[in-house]
Amino acid sequence: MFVPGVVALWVALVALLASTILYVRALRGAGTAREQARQAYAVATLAVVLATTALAYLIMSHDFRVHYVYSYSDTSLSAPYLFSTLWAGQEGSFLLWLLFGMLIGLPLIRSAGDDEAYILLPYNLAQLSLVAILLRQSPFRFLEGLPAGQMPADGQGLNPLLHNPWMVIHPPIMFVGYAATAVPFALAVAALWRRQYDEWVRRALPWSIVSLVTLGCAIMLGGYWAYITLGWGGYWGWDPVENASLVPWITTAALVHGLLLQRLGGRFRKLNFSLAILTWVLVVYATFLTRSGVLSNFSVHSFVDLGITGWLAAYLVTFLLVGAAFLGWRWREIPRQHGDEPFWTRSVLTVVGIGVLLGAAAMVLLGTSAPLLTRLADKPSQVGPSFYNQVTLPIGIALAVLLALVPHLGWKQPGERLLGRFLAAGALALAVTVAAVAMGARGLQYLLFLAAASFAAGSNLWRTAEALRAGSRVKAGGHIAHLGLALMLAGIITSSAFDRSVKLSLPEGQEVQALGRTFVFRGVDTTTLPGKRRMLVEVKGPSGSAWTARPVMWSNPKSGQSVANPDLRARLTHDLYIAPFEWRPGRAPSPAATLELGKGETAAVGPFTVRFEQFERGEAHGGEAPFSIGARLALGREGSETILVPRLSMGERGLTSSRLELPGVAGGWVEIAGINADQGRIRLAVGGVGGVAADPGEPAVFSAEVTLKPAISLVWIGLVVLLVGGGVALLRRTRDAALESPAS
Amino acid sequence: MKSRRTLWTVLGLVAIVAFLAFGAGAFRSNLTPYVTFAEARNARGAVQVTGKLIPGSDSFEAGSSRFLFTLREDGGDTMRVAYSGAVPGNLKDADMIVAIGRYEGGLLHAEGLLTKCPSKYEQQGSQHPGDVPKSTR
Repeated sequence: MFVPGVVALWVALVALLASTILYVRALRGAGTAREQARQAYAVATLAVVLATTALAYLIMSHDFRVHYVYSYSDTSLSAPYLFSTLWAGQEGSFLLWLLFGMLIGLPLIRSAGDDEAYILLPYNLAQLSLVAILLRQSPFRFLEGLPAGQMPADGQGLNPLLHNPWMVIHPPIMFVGYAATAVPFALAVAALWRRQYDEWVRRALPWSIVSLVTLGCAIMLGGYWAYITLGWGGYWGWDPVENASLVPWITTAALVHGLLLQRLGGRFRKLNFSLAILTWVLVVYATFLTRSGVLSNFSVHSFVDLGITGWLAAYLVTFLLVGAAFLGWRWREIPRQHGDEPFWTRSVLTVVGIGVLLGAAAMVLLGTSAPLLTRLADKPSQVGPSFYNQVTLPIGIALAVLLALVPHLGWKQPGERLLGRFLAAGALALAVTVAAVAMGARGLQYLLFLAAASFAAGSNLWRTAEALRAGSRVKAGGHIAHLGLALMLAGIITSSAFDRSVKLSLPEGQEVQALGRTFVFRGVDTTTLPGKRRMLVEVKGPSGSAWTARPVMWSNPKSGQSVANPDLRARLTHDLYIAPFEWRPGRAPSPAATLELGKGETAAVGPFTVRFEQFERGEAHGGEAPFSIGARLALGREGSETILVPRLSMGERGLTSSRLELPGVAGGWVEIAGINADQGRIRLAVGGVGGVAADPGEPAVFSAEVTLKPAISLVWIGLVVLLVGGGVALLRRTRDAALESPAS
Repeated sequence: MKSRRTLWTVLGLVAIVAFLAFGAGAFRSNLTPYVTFAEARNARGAVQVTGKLIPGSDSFEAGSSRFLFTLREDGGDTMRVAYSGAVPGNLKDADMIVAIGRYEGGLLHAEGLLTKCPSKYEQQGSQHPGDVPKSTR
């Protein structure tokens, strides 16, 4: 155990417990208790900061006595990657999550006002559960069985696949999102407790948008990393770990929209309480699924079981029960309000949209939980990507249609000049779809998806432009975000449903035509990247432009794990993606025929017969060669016989073979290619003789899957637009929350 | 007004039920049970099996663009697998390989492969499966 680190964690635990108990006393009206509870929380935060600093220090100073440092880092890592090992493993990532949770708690306390104790009690519960896990599975424990005073010289290192800038920032962003989902949960519990069913919305909205933006950003960063690094051709594989972060993201999106509706009309209170609690429970469930080892047979991605399965299951049940108890306690009291809008309004369609989102979340959750659910009934089973693709296709279409309709409708009234606006966006959708068909896109459902997505992009682009022209920049956040989402949906469908893919075997130097391009494998570059093979593939495009793709194949010297990194050429209209899967080294061509002869054996070569008579030792030439062996050959041709003695010499330059001319054949030669002294056999190379089949050799072959992904750039462009829109919305809602805050 | 609201509510409920039925159907038809090699040979639908790669048994069949290899299960039973998706880069070093697909004509025609690497690589974000998201088409 690294004592200072463990002490810091214990201090955090004790201080958090103290803070919790003091908040309970504050509930009962103890005057000074609230202030003391805050101080205890601040102490806990400081302790967690110190614990994180201690782990970072152990990592940066290569203290390989520590199990965590030994397992995830080594001395070869550059400083940024070395630092990123702080969150490369289970324990470190829990610590990071806890750190963000504690830090987020500080502004939460300041803005909490009179509700502070009610909010911080459930919030502290979430932090306490993380601290307890870290004490159970400490990042500060030492390697087992290490003699006192000794330290391994080097660690096992960071998985080479994680040597990527995107993977350095992906986990921290993800854990900000996870940590932020605890805030709406705590606010919802506090609101139910205090019977203040509307005030919490103002506070919860900015934090929900923080979760939405950070989780979304982190999910797509992970996808982008997979796309450029892993070479399985896509950015999304419906793996349990990916799904586990996707489901809370979808429910957070539903929550944000539900909160907006409640702000407008004081409705959907029960829905929002349920969603806020559900989202946090889903985060805990996701953690349970991916870190407990329950899915270890179904995902490579899952963490190994560290003995915290029971704990995580207990947390899941606890938070579920706490949430359900508070909801059940107040359920009948929560006032209901009916709206009377006509169907074609933004309010009603937003409700429909929330329903669609929840449908998507339910399906992904069902699929991800399949191994658990089926284990209860029968053999554990899982569903593959085909399930997710099937169920999300109609959901995507429905979502895109809603995105297209919503911006032009008013919250309460259908709005004006609807026909003209829809016709404009519809014309764009039609144009895009017709163009796609003209370029070879097929499949009714995919085309429908594309049409709906372009319709949505057109609609939201229009509204964004209108809002910006009217000078209400902060109000454009929603439209911008929806524009980004629509672009993403369009990019997802074009790049995955309309892609074209071939497997190519490229013999070195030969032109291969595929996908309207010419591919030539130009060999391997082993010098630029030490220890790695860079495959050089020349690609000539249809327009005559040429580039050299450099996918990399190598094996990690520490683990022996072989790694293949794809290369891609990203264009606005399409990506050309080259994922390597095999490289076979060639054989150099040999101009000679090879004969293998034992003593006294004869073989025919062209016009000759060759008989190997015996070895002749010694007779080094002038003492230069310390060792030399000759083979006495009898060459027969048309009845006459000649004796030749080619030699193999061991000299300062290594093994050299003397090449002797064949009598009567211009350019003909013979030499010893190899000797097997034990069996008394030799191998002879004979060249330049007519009628001898020379070995043509074999070129090196590089095999790769080459895929043309149309408009995949829209996925990334859409994401950025989505995040910008989310940021604008966050700005607006934070300002609203501050303006309306009773504390200010 | 009242009757229109009822109409929309009914339509909404119908849509929800239809979607749930659709989802449940898709779920059932896509379930792949986790079975032994012997069970896989008799299975009718898609299944998943786990085994170790027999070193040297893997080859790439250029004509059909398939990757072929043999897995050995714990009990010693072996099974030949054919896969035409993108082969995971770490296939040859994997501790265990999970193949998902249908058994037909002496071969398990895999639609997806998962590779499980030595335990220290089972950390977050270390490996995605070699799933082919397009295998449904």
